[in-house]
Amino acid sequence: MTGSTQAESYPPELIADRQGREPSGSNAANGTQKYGWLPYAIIAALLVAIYYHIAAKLVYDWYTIPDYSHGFLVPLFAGYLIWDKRAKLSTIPVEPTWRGFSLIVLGIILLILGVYGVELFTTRMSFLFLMAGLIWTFFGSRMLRELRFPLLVLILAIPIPAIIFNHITFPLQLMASHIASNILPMLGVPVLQEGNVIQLPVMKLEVAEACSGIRSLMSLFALAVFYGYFLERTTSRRTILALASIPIAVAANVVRIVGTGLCVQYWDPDKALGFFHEFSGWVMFVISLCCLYLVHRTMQLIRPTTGKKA
Amino acid sequence: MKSPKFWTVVLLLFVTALILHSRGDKDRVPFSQPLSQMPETIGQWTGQDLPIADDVLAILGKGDFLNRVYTSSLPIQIGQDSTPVGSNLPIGLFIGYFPTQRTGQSIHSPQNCLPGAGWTFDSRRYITMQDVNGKSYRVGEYQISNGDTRQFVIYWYQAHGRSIPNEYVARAYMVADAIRMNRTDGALVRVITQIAPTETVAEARKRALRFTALMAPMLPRFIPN
Repeated sequence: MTGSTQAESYPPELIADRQGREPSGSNAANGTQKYGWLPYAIIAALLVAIYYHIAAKLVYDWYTIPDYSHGFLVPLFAGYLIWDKRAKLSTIPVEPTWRGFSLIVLGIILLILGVYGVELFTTRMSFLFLMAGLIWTFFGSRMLRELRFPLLVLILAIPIPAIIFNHITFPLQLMASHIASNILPMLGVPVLQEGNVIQLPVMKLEVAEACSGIRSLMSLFALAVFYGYFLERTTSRRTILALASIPIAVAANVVRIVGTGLCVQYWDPDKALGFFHEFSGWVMFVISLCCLYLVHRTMQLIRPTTGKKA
Repeated sequence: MKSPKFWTVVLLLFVTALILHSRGDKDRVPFSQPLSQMPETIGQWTGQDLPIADDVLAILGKGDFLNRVYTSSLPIQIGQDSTPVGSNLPIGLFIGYFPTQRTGQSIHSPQNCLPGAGWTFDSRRYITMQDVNGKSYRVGEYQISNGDTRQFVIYWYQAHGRSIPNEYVARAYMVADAIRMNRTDGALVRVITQIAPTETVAEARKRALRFTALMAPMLPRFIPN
């Protein structure tokens, strides 16, 4: 994508001769370069020692909570973003500064409070503050500014506390149930809706559980961010696409409920339930991607992309 | 390598690692009796357990749950002003006790679960009520409805001898207690009774409060202070 003439084959912040360019470093490049990786290795080892348990639990959550399985993709995406920018990053002068310590200390305070207070979200967020602080301290504020998007993207991989997340997704879930229960009678399926529970003539359809909202919202949001990054060029258009994930989540849920209702009425209740559950997985994903594509197409019809890159 | 910034960072991270490793990743879980031992008779009410479906249990998470309906043995209760009070309508008691919330699960809020089941909150407020021993509790009282059915609900979060009606405040105290005492146990206590079409809200409220006042002193056995 970006010019590869001056590109290096690995992320610039790991390049050993950076250390040599530090004001305190000597110009005897050979000696510094030979062990230039050592400081990074020491810091990395300490980070592993600190975050080992926390990361293991996070990966376990990605693995076990279906709505966060996109967590595996997020670090890859962030890594790609950095790699994609490597040419630009290598031109940024390294300006170590003590000011970066403010973020490092903030990160450490959040980490300790999070671990002692058993607050997983705080604990996980502390890693981002710490990383930002380290980049700021060793490479300067310009490098941090250049890397802020890959850092922010990592938030997508962190499960939001249920107590907050439910307040966002729950009204959306109720809305989806409500819309679906208005559509179904038009298609000849009489329903009785009570909150998230939809009573069909032959069976009860619990739209997720009575106690949960649209939990796939976070996956959809991440998906929309990825999509927007690759297919759009300006921040505002990417933001619109990311925000579009919210109505898309509602729409996909409506389709899911209506589809299940139709299956029950005109096909086979058992198969309908299978459909309903299958739907929370890959079918939902495909439908959402199609919706996202439609939104994107509409955007381009209303206001076509200019060739300018922001 | 000579950079003082580098060594400061190394020192900070090293100390952090030590601080974190000095704290195990196990809570202190005090002993508590299983909720099934909750007395079957509370005042004039006699309880009967309602089964909780497996899929509901799976959603609730790892904890101890009590779902019981208490019915009054008195056919008609005569109030102090000698008018019949709130007939013998049953009272639902739900308690969810979580010995540890370390794994990231948190207590489900009735603010979500009730609307999810089709209920609308008609009114809500926090009050201070006293149990029969004169101990004060901060609780939330709510009036909910679903079509023509109305219910009066009292619920609060109980942990370490403290009662809190607000879920966010309760969560904040959980974090604070985890730091101070290394404990993350806590419970939700919910008392619910129907508001009969023939009675006033005040009567249903009186019934729910009376039951709660009798029941609350029994809680510490199951939800340790």
